[in-house]
Amino acid sequence: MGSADKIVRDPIHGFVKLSPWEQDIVDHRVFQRLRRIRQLAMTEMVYPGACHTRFEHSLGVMQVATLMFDQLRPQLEGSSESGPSFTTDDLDKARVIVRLAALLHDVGHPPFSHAGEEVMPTNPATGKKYKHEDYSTSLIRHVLRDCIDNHPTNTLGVSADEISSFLQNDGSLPFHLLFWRPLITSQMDADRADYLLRDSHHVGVAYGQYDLHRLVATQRVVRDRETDNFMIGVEKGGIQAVEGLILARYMMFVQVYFHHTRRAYDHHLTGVLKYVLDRAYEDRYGEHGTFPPPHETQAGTVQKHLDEYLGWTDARVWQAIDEGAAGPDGARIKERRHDRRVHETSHFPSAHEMDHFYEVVVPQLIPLGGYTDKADNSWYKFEKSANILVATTDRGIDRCPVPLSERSSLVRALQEVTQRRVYVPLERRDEAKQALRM
Amino acid sequence: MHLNAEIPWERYALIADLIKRFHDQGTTLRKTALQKLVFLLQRVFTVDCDYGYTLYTYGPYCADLARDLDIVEGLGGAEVTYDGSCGGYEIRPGSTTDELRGRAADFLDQIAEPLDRLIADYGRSTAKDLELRSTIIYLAKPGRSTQELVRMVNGVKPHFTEAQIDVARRELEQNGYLAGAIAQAHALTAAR
Repeated sequence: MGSADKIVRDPIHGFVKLSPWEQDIVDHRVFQRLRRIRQLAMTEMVYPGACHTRFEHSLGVMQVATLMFDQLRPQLEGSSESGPSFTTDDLDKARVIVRLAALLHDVGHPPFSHAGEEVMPTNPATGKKYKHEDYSTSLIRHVLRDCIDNHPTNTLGVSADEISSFLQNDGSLPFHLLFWRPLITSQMDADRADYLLRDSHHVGVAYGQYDLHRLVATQRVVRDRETDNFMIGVEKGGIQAVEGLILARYMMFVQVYFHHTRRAYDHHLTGVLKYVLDRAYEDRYGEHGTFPPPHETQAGTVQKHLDEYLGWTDARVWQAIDEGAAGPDGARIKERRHDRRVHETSHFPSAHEMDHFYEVVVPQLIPLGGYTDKADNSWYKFEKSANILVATTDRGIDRCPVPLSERSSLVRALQEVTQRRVYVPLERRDEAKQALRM
Repeated sequence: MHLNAEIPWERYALIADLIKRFHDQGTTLRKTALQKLVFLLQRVFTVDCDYGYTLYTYGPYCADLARDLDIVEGLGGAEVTYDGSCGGYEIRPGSTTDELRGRAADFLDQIAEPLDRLIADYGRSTAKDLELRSTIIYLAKPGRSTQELVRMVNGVKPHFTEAQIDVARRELEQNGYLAGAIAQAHALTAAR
């Protein structure tokens, strides 16, 4: 264990400071693995600069979450009977939990980040696929526990269970912790605040740029009039910064995250992962072509499952692709023979355009090996619904905030992207185009 | 119940139907009420719309449902306006509300009974009341004692007193909502 804070250089935030405790967590094999998980899967097949990893993003989220926390804390400390009651101890402990939760929120990502989530096993408790968050919380509870609970500098008694509960939100969080959860997951959270700037920087597009420092400096605790709840909003002076954030998200979605070629590679990656996982495990965990689950299948097996899971990185999958051991999708990736988009709807199709798409276009292309994709399936999908509250007074906890869309005609005018596309294999592209012309 | 995998017409139809039901009873659906009513429909009446809810200080909230309302608005099925007098959004029928309902008429028929009951019980409740009740339902689990449940809800929502929370809890016990939510939570636990 080091005895002093360390400063890490970061291309977005300049410097990120790590305490000795955080350094030990960063040096743990669970966190080091993130150096081998790319942030944007195979986006580099379109934008060659997109080779950054979950490692630097996680450091960045911790940095931004801390900036936001430190902006809001004095507003709560100064609150009178009209505000929520936070003790100094509550706030000190919450700051540690927010930092560690931000640092660890992505440790459960599979290879190629969100693209790998298509092959998650089924959670028997819900009947739905696990998400990377389930692996993150399981890794915190089962593999990182000692490094958290028993660390010599853990003077506030922060536990792995608290950090896990903060990320998972299992209903056990008290108000003084739950209040801070929007810093990790909301429309104005540290996660998207970091990834928009970082992805934009590495991809080499300017669309993701917005004024982070203005956004943070204008964050305010507000009290919703309809429900009396204390929430995180912005001052009037921060409207343009939030508009910038929302517009950045829209532009990055259209230009990068939902790029038609990038999405083809997500499809091929799913095929590759199913193939290599099926060969690795067959139906050992009850399903074919999935990762080991983050729960126990027999008493005492969860550690083994998680160790297996940690062995899966981008590098391991790339090796299978290079060796020709990743199935037909692997061969397509190796030679950049990805499937081609042959038809797409408008960004905001009407009900009748969608009818035409599914009743006329898709049936013509399915026999050619075609398949559909839609904006709703994409990770980082754009959400117009900006329930961000804007303070109407200059000081204290504002009791009459109004929704951002009431103050921003730009946000009001934005629409959800619900575009649909059809892809076919490269060798059927001409046939498909011919069929669509008829 | 099986949802359309390509276009979730069932979800859009449900939103459109709730808008119409409120309109027909002479009231206006609001965004907060929509969130909490759909939560109760899923959790108490086991109507599966595949909406994943997360608990915030303002109660259970689903970003996908908020997004679907925006889509319904974009499709002309809802007119959403801000109500400056109480600080919330009102949702009124749009030009295609009935058309959207018609696109999943069978689904709406299947869930008509629980919807009738839900609207009769909570169709005129305030956002604050719905928020408290949905938080109680969110935190109700098999084996969790009354005292523990009240304490947990108070931990999340300290601006309600334990006495206020217990009154709402008793109401949910008497109308069977609590038992419905616990039975569903029990079924999920048994599936593990």
